[in-house]
Amino acid sequence: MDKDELKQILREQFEPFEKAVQKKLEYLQSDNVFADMASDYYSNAPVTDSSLEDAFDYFSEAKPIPAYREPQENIDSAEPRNMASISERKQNIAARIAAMRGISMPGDYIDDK
Amino acid sequence: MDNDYIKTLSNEEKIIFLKIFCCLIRADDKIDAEEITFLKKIALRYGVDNNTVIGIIKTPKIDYVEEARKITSRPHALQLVKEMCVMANIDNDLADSELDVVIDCARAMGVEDEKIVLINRWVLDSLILTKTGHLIMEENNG
Repeated sequence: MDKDELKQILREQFEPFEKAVQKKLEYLQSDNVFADMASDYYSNAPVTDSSLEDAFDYFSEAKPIPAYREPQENIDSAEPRNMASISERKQNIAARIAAMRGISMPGDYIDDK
Repeated sequence: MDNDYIKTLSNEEKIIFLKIFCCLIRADDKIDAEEITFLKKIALRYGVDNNTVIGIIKTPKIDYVEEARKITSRPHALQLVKEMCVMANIDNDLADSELDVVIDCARAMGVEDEKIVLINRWVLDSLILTKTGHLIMEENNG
């Protein structure tokens, strides 16, 4: 590569930090997928004790990955996937977030012992 | 950024690194406060005493290409390129003379141009992410 060409590439990579940081902040603020999913979950679907347990089990290292379940929604897939349906995954993720935050879920109860 | 590589540098390599950093600082005829701070921190991290650092800064002319050729270890060469990219970008300004030092040293050590581009991109992303983090966490030095 020609030296001037290389210098040009390196110069083009550079961006004043103020501008770059602002862009990064906007990206972080807009890309809040899990918060949106949790928000939808709280406002719509009820949660049972077993689904919370499933969430813990799913992420526990001691447990194997859940077996493939027939998707309840019409997911176009060429091969069987070892994943829950989209709604179940959404529930699991929201339950995991709630568990991490120590938030009680609708339909759940807290053991006060 | 990862500093474990410093333990693997010989004393001679540490001095070479500092000499090249000093050349980079002087390259744009401007010495930014952040660059001085960076050089002092580097010297501290490398365990190089102040007198040696002062001696390097006071050396009138350093042949940085000749110094870079003495770095024969590939991992050390890549680390030097990375540190040079940090120094070149950290003052929020990128001078042509700084790029000359980075490119000439990298080529003297056998580092490919494509690798320089990759390392520079990674360094910039890291610096931006760090500064963003300081802002989000409301830290004054962000």
